[in-house]
Amino acid sequence: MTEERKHSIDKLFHESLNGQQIEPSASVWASLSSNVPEGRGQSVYLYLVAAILIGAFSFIVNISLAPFNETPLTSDIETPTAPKQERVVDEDNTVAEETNVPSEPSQESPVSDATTDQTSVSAIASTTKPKDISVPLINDSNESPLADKQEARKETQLSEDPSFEHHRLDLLDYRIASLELDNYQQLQDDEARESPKPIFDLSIKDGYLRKADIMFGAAFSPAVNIYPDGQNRNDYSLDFVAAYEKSRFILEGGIGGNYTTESAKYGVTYSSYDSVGYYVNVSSFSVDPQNPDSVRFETSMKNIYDSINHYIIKENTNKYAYLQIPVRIGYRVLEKDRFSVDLKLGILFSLQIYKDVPDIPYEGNDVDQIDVIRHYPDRLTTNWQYTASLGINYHLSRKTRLTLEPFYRQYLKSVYTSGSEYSARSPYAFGIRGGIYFHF
Amino acid sequence: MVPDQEILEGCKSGERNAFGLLYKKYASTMLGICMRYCKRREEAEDILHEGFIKVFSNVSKFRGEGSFEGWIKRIMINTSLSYYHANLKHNFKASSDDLEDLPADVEDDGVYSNAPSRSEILSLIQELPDGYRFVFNMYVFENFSHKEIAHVLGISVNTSKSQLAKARRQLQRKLLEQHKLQPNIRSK
Repeated sequence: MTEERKHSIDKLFHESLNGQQIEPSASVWASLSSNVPEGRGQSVYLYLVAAILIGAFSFIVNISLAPFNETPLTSDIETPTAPKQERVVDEDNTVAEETNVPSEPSQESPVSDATTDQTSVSAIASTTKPKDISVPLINDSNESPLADKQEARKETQLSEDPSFEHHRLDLLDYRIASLELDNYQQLQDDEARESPKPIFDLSIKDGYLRKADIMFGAAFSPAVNIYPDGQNRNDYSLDFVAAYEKSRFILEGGIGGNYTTESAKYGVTYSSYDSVGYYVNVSSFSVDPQNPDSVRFETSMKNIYDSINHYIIKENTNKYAYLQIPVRIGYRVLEKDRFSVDLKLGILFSLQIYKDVPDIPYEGNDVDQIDVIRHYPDRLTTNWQYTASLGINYHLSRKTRLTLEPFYRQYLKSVYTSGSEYSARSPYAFGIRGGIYFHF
Repeated sequence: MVPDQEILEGCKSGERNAFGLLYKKYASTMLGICMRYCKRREEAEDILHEGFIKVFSNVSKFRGEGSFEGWIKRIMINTSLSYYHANLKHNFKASSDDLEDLPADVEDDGVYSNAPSRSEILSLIQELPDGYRFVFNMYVFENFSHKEIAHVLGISVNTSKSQLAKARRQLQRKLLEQHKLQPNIRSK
């Protein structure tokens, strides 16, 4: 320690205050604890997101690869099933003609409890006819000649049966029923030709009768955020939702992730050891041998350096990720063929789960940083937004639909901490949400 | 007391508990430092808060060169400097020559008949103008040379020296006035 440092005032203050400990108030840690960087906790979030992604991907692959075997709706059941062609034997024991008769409803068929009058006719007819005859004789063009011979032999045996007369009466009933059904089927075919039947019926009446559906969806949403400072910031969201749909009403909720970046400016004061000028150094001099009256100087240029303060603006890109929980209610305003349009309103809760605020880019040797002033505000760790969107759906099938949803999003409050110039106004965003929905 | 190395490893692997231990171990000492650089306790706690955010964010970059406590201390001092940066230059330029009543050749041997308490001494430092306070703190407590102070604060070495002298004189005068201390004054 130098002599100057032995000044009594210095000693008095140093001895009194050096190492002094003052307990901070509890509010400091309470505020700080929310800023503790997430280490392992963050990896838990990552594992969770990864698990959701893998699960969703597996589900989508599973659905996509599953054979397309849909269960018909009630509206489909009302249509009589296409009658199978059955070969009928006349009195002369010959195969006289081929008539269409409705096939017997299968016991395994899910439509068995919803047969119409026409199908009832066929059902009664089929229950009254003898078992031997009730076996439908399939008119199969691929049938082999050998099978035809066996069939003819079988029919000959039947004609020799004493109960065959009774069977013939049953067959007449069959023909009547078949003709009625033929006419009905013809009408159905004509209607179908005039307006191709969609994969499923989205009529309002049918919609109200339809039982509630639960659908699962995944969507990606790029958006442009308009901030009070006039800068636009892009963000990207990925969400997984479950939608409960009853008649035309929709309730939708789920979980998602959002990623956004933001420009961060710093004012940096630093000093560097710079050249501030030069001087001519005379290293030696001598009398000029050729001209004794003059002196010759040996000189060299010397630079002068000094610590110079500089002030520059540096810019970084901060990155933030949020966990999002959306809840929306919707109403189907339009249904036509494979298209439908939903109007949705909802709220969105965001929780910051990750932030990357890199160090100030600092370059150069012999440079000392004096001061750094931050020109960007802190973000809040949570925020609420409300959303309004118009979902345009294209129904690939009864179970799958694609959706394209332009949306507007407004933050309820600023995303920045209070006290900053940005905190007074809340940003808003426009974006489009595209995704796919599945129905189990 | 948990060793620094253990706390550091915990912080680097993101254990929340380790950050809590770090705060618990150093918060009181660091607030003691911040209080010397600030005028009020609220300001000191703000600086402590901001300083610890920097510590938490950058702890993974601490490479073990020098003591961990020294590293945290440096962050707190830099944070204090940033906090007062806007006013500091003005204060260095401001003249405070109201100390002419104290003889320039007074020197004492540091023996006082009625020593003030710690809190009274701290108050005296906090009452100093910003420029005096920073130079005095950096010189007396951080053992910076005038050249280093000049470099950090962006002032000349002579300014640093004069600020220190004025700070001492103001402190000395207040000790005499407010606390009626009687140093063993001897004339040169």
